[in-house]
Amino acid sequence: MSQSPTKETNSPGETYLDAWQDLATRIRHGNSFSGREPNSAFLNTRGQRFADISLMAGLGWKDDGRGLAWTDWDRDGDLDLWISNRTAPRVRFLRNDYEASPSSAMLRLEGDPARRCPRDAIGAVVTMTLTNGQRLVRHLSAGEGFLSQSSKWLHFGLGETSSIRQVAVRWPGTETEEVFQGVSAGRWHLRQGSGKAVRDKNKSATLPKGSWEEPSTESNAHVILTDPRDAPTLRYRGWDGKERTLNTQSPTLTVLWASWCQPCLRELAALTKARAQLEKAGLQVIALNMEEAQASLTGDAAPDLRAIQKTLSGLRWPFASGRASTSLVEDLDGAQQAILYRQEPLPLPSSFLWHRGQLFSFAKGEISVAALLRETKRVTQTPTAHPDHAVPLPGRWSTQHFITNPIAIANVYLEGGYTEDARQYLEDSLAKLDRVSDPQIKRMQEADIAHMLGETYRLENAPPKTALPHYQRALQLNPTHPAAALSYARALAALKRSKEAIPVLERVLKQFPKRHDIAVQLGNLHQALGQDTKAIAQYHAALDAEPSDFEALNQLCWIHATSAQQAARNPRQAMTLAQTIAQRYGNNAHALDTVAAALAAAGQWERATQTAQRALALAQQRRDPRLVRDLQARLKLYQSRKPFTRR
Amino acid sequence: MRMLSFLSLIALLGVAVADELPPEIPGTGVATPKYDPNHGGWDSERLAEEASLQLNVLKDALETGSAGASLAAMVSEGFAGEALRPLTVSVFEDAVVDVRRASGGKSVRFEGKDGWVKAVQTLTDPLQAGQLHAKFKTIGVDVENDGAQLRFEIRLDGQSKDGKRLQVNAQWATRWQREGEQLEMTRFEITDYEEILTKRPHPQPLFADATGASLGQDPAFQQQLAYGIDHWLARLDTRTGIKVGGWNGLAIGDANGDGIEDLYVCQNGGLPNRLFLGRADGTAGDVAAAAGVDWLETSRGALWIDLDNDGDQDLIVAVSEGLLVHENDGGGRFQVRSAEVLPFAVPYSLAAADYDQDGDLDIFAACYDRRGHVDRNISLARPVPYHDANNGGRNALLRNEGGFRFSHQTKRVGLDEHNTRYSYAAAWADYDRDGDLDLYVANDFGRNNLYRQERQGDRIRFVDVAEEMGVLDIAAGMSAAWGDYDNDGLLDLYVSNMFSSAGNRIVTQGQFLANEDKATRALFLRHARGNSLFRNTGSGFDDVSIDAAVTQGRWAWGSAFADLNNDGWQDLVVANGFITQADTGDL
Repeated sequence: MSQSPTKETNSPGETYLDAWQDLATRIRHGNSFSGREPNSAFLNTRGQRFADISLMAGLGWKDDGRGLAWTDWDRDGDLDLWISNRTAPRVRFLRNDYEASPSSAMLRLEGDPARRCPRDAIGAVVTMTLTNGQRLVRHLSAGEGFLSQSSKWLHFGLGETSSIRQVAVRWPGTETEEVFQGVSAGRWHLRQGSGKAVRDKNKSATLPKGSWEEPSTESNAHVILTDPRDAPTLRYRGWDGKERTLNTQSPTLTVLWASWCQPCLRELAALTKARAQLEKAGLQVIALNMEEAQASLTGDAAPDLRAIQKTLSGLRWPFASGRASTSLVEDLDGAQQAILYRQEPLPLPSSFLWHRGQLFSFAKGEISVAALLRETKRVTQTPTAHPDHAVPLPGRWSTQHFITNPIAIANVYLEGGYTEDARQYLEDSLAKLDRVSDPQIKRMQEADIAHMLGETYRLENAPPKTALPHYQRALQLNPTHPAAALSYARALAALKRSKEAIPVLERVLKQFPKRHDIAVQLGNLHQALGQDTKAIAQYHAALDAEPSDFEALNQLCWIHATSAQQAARNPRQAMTLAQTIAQRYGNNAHALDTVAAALAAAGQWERATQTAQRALALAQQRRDPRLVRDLQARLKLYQSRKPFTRR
Repeated sequence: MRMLSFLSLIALLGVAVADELPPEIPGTGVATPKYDPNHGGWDSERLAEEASLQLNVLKDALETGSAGASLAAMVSEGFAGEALRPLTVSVFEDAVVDVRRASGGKSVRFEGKDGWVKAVQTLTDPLQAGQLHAKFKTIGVDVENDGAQLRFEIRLDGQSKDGKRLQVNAQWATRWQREGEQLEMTRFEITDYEEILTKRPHPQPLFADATGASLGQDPAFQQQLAYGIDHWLARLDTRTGIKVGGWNGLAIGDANGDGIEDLYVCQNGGLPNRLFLGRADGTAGDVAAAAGVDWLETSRGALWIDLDNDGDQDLIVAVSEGLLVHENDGGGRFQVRSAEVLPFAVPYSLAAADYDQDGDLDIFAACYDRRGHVDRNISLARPVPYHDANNGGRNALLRNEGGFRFSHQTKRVGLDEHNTRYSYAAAWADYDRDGDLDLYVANDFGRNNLYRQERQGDRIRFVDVAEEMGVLDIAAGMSAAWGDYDNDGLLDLYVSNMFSSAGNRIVTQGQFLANEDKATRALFLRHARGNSLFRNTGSGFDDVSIDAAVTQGRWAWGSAFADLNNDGWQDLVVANGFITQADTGDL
């Protein structure tokens, strides 16, 4: 790490990053890295310096330990350990046979949610006072250490000479402690508010004898790909010396072999024997001898090709055959290196299964004919990704449970308050759209992302003109994007450029006549431009699509009550609408403001004044200074028996 | 390079054919050469290497109990030193063990080659030959004109002639002189000596490996967990998500409500997680598939908690994409109720607490690397700068909103401060006893965070007080645990880090970061010190790691306070080791 940049402003030097890369490569090739390190145990010598008992305690396993959790697994009163490891076994159980003192108390707490304490009582602190005056404090946690959760049974070692005087629990979120009576050595349940400990009924266990052994790892492996990978163009030489290109379009098995390799000869014999089944399955097989390639790499004398052919005819090899070049060996090696983390030389034989120009699986070492037939059937029937086959043991994938849509994920960022990260994420997502092949889908997704980018600025209360180009871009890509059109219209309205938005909204509404929110927005734009009759038409259109649209109802009533234009002003119509509004939205300041205006337009000054006062109180409560200001002005009008008329 | 390694493989090939092992195809799976300390311009590393070869002679003498001529040849004619087993005094005992340390009294001097052999015999004589294992680490090198001063850390375990179990932990200070080709030891001093001896013959260790007894009959164990990750790395497509590091944890809880503890084991990509239901006799069997929790994605941490306060244990699993939140139907069958995508980063350790005191448990996810920041085939982060990396992934606090719904509160409550570290783990505790929960976060490559909760009425605010409380712990933080080790009623803090003997040797050399100031170099040295124990004083924390002798956790991961001998004093346990592979040439 001596090349590490030492300041945040330093750019990571190439040598530093190269060193990491190098380290990673070495590990990938099988080097250890701080391996063979025993686990540690430190014995507390009564609050003084600890004593390292790692080895004599039997914890010194060199397993690359990771997670570590304690629990009294066998309920005999002392703490046993479970450790998860990188190496075998992936989890190890270490039973406590220390037996310094059999005496302990284990407590399982139960909180009372009615007292705002979680049932698991995580965060509780228990103080146990012993007769010798010693006080033991334990806290209850869920998740400590590294990737680990220990037992919820709190453990108190009592030593050899002491018994319990008192147990006091401070439940999370409470100020005082609850004292529990009747606790002695053993296992106890403590329930919040009960004050009384109840003995656990489970008895201690004596584990049967049993051992395990790490199974020896075979070097043979049948590797099935989660999803097929495109095959390179594979060239080989026929026995006549002519170069040929391997056809990998139909199910094809290529076997790399050498005539001196016994496992290879066994595999070829097995394939020969299974000829009828393999042909019936539609599998082509080609045996590619690599002795020539080997000789050209080592500079050894060229192999006797005739002898190699003779080996094949001796086997009565019924399938195709040929000679592998060094570049073919490299290509096949490259394929396995790209798929497996562990970088190992390819063994002989190695067999690769191709179909539709893609690699589906390969076998290191002798292939099993039964597995090969299964595989051939699978790739013929469903030549697609099939992760379930790539795993050695069954299980379930969680991907279907997680959202993947970039808009939904951007929303997670926004919910967390990470606006800039959301933006970065959206921009990264734009770059990734190159992978979408359908141009129509790509355009739609890009439009969604562009719109969302605009929204990130709006959420930051940035000036509307910052967001505007993103909305424009969205509408360019998808001219009838409803959300983008709405955002665009709002931004333009804020910039006093409502007029420009009208044709856009009209276009979207034409495409989606049921979008009442668009119609309302269109009405609002007309209203802002003083085109009240046009506005009324849009609010009606909105109410036709959705009779309960509050905004449409409210604006329609407002315009009939307050319009300065003869054709639009209609106090009678306003009163009818106001009745509905008052019934449904009597607690909404804006709704009451409208109702008051309708009452005033109808000349009902008293009721108008009362209603406006109620609206004002609500607006003050909601801390809406603009509405408060407007209502105060209107209230004065109503009190002096004047209706409110918009200018 | 391809050609070179190819040639070296030819030799292998000859052997392989003869033994009928599967032969390898030359030129494939090409490896790279190793680092060689002799070619880096590090005199100190070369000396350490030479001395460790010499010490192997001593290791042999200790382990076999026979002092051959080579032992005497290790030292110079003018050698002078102490007994390997000095006079000791008992500092602690329980019913099983006696802990003794060097008494500090005047020790006998041993001189010359014969003297050295006798000094070694002080340790070997009481012990059973052939039952002893010794391990040395070189932790300090000072190069001198004609030699060097070297410091070693020693761990030794075995049995006494009367069958008592024994462990010796010591530090030695030595001086070496070059004599022709050879390095000879001229001085030997004991700077620290501790031995722990059982009081009675103790043929078995204090903890028995009962893995086979508990899980050995279970097919999931036999087919899957009995193999290390390296086995699967040679067989599984990397697109299954398999990782080399083995960052897969475990969680203890009662899944089926029968009062007996069960175990959830997280697994690597392409291998299903396992749920072992404990039986009354202490054995356990896997039911992950039937219970609906056999996830195949790389899973790191998991938690058993009752999220809806209905009396059963629900399950949260940190998979690569985020958190899978399962509801328990009361009988140990699980259904995913929520999948919380964590777009910021990849979640590692989980820690739950009701931080907002509304009666349900909330979740903190410690996140390590930024998403997309790590090459899937390489699986190592790229911390910048190494000793104070700030390009990691954001941690997330998810508030339980009821009905298995959660909201992101990290930023809102102040936990976004210092939040782009490489966080491995987190632990909640009310360390300041003010009635609300505080949070410690352990970060790799740099400082940690102690977020103190400060409530003003209903308003919740966390403030990072790690620096003022003295728990920055600038190092490679791997895990954190709270416990009252000195029984004064206050929760103390244990943080696991990396101990690196190579780091301790190299960072102290003049040429290491020669252009950087002392403070920066000190930070690098701190990185190699190992684990930390912070004593809660009531107004802050004292770093008592060295005095308490709990730094030596090696490459540490999981750690916990646990009273192993039931004496009421909490001991410490640590899981260690990074990557052990077949190749012994450790990096």
